[in-house]
Amino acid sequence: MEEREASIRLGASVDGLSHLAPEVSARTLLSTAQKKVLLGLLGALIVLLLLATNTTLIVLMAMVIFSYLASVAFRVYLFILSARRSSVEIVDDRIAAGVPADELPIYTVLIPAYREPHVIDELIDKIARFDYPTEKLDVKILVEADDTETLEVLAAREPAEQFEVVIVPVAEPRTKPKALNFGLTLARGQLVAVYDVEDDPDPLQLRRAAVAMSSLGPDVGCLQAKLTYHNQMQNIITKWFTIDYLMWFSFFLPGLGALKTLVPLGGTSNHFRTEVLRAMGAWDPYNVTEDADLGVRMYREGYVVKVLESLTYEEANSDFVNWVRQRSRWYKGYVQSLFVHLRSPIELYREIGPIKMGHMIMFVGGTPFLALANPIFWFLTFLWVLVGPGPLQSIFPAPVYYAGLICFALGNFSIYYISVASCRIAGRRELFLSSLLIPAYWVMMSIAAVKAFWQLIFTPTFWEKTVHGLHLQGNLQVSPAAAVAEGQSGPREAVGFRQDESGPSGSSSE
Amino acid sequence: MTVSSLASRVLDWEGTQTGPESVNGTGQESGGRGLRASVKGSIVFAKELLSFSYHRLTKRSSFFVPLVVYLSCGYLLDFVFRSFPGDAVSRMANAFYMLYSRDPHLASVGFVWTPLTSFADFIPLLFRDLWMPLSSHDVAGTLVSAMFMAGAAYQLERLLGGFRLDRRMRTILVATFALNPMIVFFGANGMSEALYAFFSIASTRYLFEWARSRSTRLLAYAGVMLGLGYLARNEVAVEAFVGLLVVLQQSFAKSKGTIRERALQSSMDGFLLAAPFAVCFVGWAVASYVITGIAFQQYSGNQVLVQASGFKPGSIQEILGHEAAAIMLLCPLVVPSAVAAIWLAFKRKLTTLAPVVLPAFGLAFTLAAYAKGILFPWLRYYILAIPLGYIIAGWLLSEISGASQFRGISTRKVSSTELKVRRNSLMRLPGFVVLALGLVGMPTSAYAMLDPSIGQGETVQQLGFIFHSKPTKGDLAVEHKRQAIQAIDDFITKLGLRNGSVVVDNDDSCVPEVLTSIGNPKVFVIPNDRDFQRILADPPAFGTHYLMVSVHGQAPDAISNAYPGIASGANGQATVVATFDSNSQCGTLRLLKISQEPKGSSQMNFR
Repeated sequence: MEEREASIRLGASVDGLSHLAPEVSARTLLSTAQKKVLLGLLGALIVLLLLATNTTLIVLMAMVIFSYLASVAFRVYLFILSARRSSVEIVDDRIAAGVPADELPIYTVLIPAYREPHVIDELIDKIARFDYPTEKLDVKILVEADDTETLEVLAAREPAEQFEVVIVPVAEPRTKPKALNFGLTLARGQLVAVYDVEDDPDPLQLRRAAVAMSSLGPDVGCLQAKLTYHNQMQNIITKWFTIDYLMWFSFFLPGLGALKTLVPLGGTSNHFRTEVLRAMGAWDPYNVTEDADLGVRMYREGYVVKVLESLTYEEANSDFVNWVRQRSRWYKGYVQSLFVHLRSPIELYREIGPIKMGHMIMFVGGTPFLALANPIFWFLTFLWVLVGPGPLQSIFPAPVYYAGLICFALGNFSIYYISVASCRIAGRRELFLSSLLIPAYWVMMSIAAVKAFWQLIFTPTFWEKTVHGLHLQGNLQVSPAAAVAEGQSGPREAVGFRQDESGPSGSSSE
Repeated sequence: MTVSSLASRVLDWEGTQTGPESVNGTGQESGGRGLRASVKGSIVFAKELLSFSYHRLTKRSSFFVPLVVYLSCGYLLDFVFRSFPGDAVSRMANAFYMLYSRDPHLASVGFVWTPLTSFADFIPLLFRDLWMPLSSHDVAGTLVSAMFMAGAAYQLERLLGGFRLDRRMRTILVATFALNPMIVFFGANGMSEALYAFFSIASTRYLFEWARSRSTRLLAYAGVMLGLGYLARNEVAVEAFVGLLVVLQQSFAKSKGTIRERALQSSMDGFLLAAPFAVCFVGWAVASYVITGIAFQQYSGNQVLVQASGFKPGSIQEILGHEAAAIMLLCPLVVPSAVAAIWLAFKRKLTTLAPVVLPAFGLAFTLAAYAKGILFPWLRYYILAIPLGYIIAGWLLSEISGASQFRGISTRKVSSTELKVRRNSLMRLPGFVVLALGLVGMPTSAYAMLDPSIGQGETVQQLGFIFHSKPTKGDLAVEHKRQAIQAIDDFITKLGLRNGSVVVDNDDSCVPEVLTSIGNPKVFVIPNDRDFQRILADPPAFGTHYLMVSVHGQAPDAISNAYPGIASGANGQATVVATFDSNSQCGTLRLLKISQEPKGSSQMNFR
């Protein structure tokens, strides 16, 4: 690739969206108006707290409790809705496999790989398993120019012709969406799929998506396949994580689909119409969860996202610290996306109306909010048991107090119950005992949420890179240097927590 | 690719958007022709609304038709005969205290009775300021019981549908159920029986459908119904326990895999059924403990009442005879169909009977509790016999006609020719018998309700005067009670008292009715108020100068307990201002004015 060509592509990858639609780019987290409003609110809050401490606390507490109730109720509603047939797109094996090769569109598969040399081999083998005509596959492995380790491994491997290694020039921001944008400028396909390096997708997934896309109207801009984990039985964290994903992809997202509302995408196994993606300015390189943001933006542009019945196995984070890093990044990204889309609330209101706006706030905002609000309620309950209702009564007038009580009892219970029910409906009885212990996982979520909010204030675009390959026993290919380059926490994650072997195919039961 | 073509492609990315035409309905066509368009639009909307509600009405006629019947009868009871059961009023009154007493707070709902009826009454009572009869005529209670009883009819219709009974059969059966006088009366009078019937039938329906389809959602619904049902009636606890056993057994029997996997699956199903119940059970006990210091007041409360009344259950023969008569009269269907169903289930080894007989265990609990002297043998406690008879009969019809074969209810295979023969020959006689017994149940129920020797004669007290040509003593008592309440209301209003002027114990059967009928209920200090104890110990210190004491009650009320002998006014602590002699089960209420600093007894007996 010529240098000039590369620089044009790079320019589009970095600045495409912020030129096309600066109002939805997360290049700046807060617009000037938002900053003013937030500062104004903060000032007003301080003044109110000084002038009328009790009343202000009551109003604050009431707002938190009612938002919490709304978010929980919305999740229960989504769970009930997910039973509707319309919630998931299903393409039978027979139909998917039966489409003749010449009727299939060219499919571009984008796989960003950053400092992950040890999983490249596995990746190439897995992609080769796709049941899709080779001449119609356009697989692009996106590697940063300075990632010599990965490039070396790729050079040594010499992948087949449908693979193309795309070298992404070094430039800030060094994020996955920027690499994806760069890959998209080269895409030949009518459809584009995105996978992570460690993914193990259903071999028929591309065919299913192609069939579904051809039968669905032009308003469907993207299909999201369901995600789960190949190392789900590795330890209690991976089991919880699996239950979490099960609820998310098999119940909550299909529920959103049934409601015909916005669906925040999961970072991988998204299948787009290429022209739609291009017209929208593709991914926001400055957003930490560019996937969720893209889902919201698609809806604002008039497209819907549907859930595709097809599984992609990912690697679940089996380590506590690593998990918290990943999760806090997601929460941060959700808040970031929320701020971005609420920059001009009136315009958003005009575009999607009050109900869908409520959905966005309750789901995109509600996800980190619930995790953050939980410890507050647990602490208050603990205090109440310890010292009695006396000191709390002043900030809990009756209606707020009762709503708080319902929040605590019904809210926690219904999410707990849904966790167990999800496992049962999905036929995952081996996860039963873990689902009974899931409140411990909520504590982990809360830790991640606190971390996320902390970082959001101090380092809003810091990218918490997740270390992949932790499921491979004795895999010591991650060099300490690589881990250092990934983030601030240093090399301990790379070697410190190898787990029992649980290969990509060994434990998967679906 | 040349650089220029590349640049154009990249630019194309930034180019015009090729999205579909506004999926979100942000249409820009609205503008000049606004009025005409909006008139046209509203006509279309109204048409759609009408056809939509018509569709709903016909689809849910098994709900709406009974609802209209119960509301109409409720209107007669509340406004024409002014006869509402004391228990219905006290449930409604508990919701009323939460909203309109001197000290409105949630714990006012009380813990001696199961709370769900009161919480349901709470909703219509929110509008009491707009329409007083919601509380004074217990219209709130009527609305709630009518909704739930109509819901019970709807759930029964759906369950019979699940048995694959044909439409005509189903309609007639549900009609004879919904129009059974006992069902109509309890659908109209605001008692918790309607909730009991609804939750029992609904949980049976979902459990049966779960056993057939193995859909986890149905199991969750059954669990929620049992949990809420427990908050309406204690008996449901037994149904929940039996339901759990049924789920554990059936889930284990039908699961595949190793023993461990099967055990895991069945405990998972058991969890999903029992968890909502467990939360309601534990949650209510904890709330009761935190607020009153007693975790299970609703059990002890009832027992105390029965013991205080001096009621003694008879011998086993008497009890069985009593129960059998009551149940047979309320629902002549239940005994023959139960016998036939058990015989058939044993003969053909049909486990599908298990989920269907859930309400039988609620009934069995009532029988046991009565034999133990924990419950009065009220006729209304057997109300579940009525739906139970229909449920078992429906199951039986579906099994012997082979209708169950269509949806895999039964395990036995029947060939299609055999099925045809069976439907033609067998359906006639059993179907006819069931219909006939259902119809016979209507007059026999009425007979049981009006015969004072069956149950405790409680329905006669409520309904007697409607049917008797000459008012009996009991009928006159209802009338007297009404007059006494009116007199109290008038007197209190005339005195023009400020809030918190009169201490009264609302445990007396008529005081709740006084409180919910009176213009300003805040005049009274009641035991539900958090400062009741302090005020009772020293009323004048709180500006309270009146006491209202029950003279005639079987047990002394809280005030007589605190100040023995004060009711007569003889000991000089207080003077009698007025006596309201109701000449009925209300007894006599006396209004006293405190004349000097009374000394509270050290053994105050507060509930």
